[in-house]
Amino acid sequence: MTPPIPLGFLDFPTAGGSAYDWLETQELSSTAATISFTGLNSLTDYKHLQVRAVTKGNNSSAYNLRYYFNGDNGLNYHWHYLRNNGSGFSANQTSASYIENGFANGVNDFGVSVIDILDFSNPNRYTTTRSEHGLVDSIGYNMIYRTSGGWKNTVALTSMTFYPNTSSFAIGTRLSLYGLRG
Amino acid sequence: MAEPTFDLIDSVTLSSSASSVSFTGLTQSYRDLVVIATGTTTSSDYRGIQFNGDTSNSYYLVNAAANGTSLSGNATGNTRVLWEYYQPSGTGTVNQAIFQIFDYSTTNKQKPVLVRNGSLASGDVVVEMRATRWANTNAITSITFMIGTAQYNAGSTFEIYGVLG
Repeated sequence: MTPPIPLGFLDFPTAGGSAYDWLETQELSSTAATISFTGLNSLTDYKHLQVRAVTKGNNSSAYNLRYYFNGDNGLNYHWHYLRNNGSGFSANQTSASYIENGFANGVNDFGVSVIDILDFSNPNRYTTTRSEHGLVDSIGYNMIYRTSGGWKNTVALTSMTFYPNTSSFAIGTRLSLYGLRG
Repeated sequence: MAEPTFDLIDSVTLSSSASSVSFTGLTQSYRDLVVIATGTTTSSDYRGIQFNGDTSNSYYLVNAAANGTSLSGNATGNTRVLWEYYQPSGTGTVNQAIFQIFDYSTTNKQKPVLVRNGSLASGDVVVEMRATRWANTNAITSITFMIGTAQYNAGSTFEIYGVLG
């Protein structure tokens, strides 16, 4: 087998090296109501952020993954989705105090999300997000989603806070943060 | 603690047609794997990936697809992580899939996978998104690209990337 080649999938020849860097991981050894990434304003080398999430709720109602920025949980977010539960497509749009990845947290099993946060430090644009996420849970929750969201604020991100729609995250929930140069 | 990642672990480009392609002895040093496959087949057939030689009906999926004129979906079990659910017809159809495999080296979680794939040929197109759960807590040590009775054509490519986390 060819040894791992640390080229970086998005590598390009700059003084900064790799274009895709692992920054931080938080994995729960006990239940928690929220998981936050802070100090994002120090990430001046990066243009975009990505969160890879493996999540489970602490009860059968805690199946939605929500997040907000910079401690702002006012009605300043908008998001919309396209989804299929295996039986049919549905779509919706919502204004809320968070962006939501619906049915992203498993109950018996883990759901997964890949969330791209675009232009997170650009003072001339609202922060936008794009997410692909899905869940195939032995309790019977089956969902595949595409979700896009926006935070109606042009300030640079300093923090992101993730939480389930109710209760708390279960043990083993893991969120990893990555920076993308551009 | 910035650490470059998204590392190419292994890759194969077929010089002749093959009924399967296997990557074995996978390093356990990463958190997630991203597998990218592009190719054509000798005939229309179901293809996908299997972990650790598991050919049992233990890959549970939910799928959404569009072919330009209609939408469809399904939720079911299968004997592989499907490359595509609605297999396109025609040997000249180019198919590409990206498999994102999370926590592949853990031994206390079943393995969730996100799949995006598309097929493009004259009169036969489909774009799909899919979530799959491999109902096994073993660490993934091998990945096999398989196909029913057809073969992957020469020139088909298969790449595995590791993501730290």
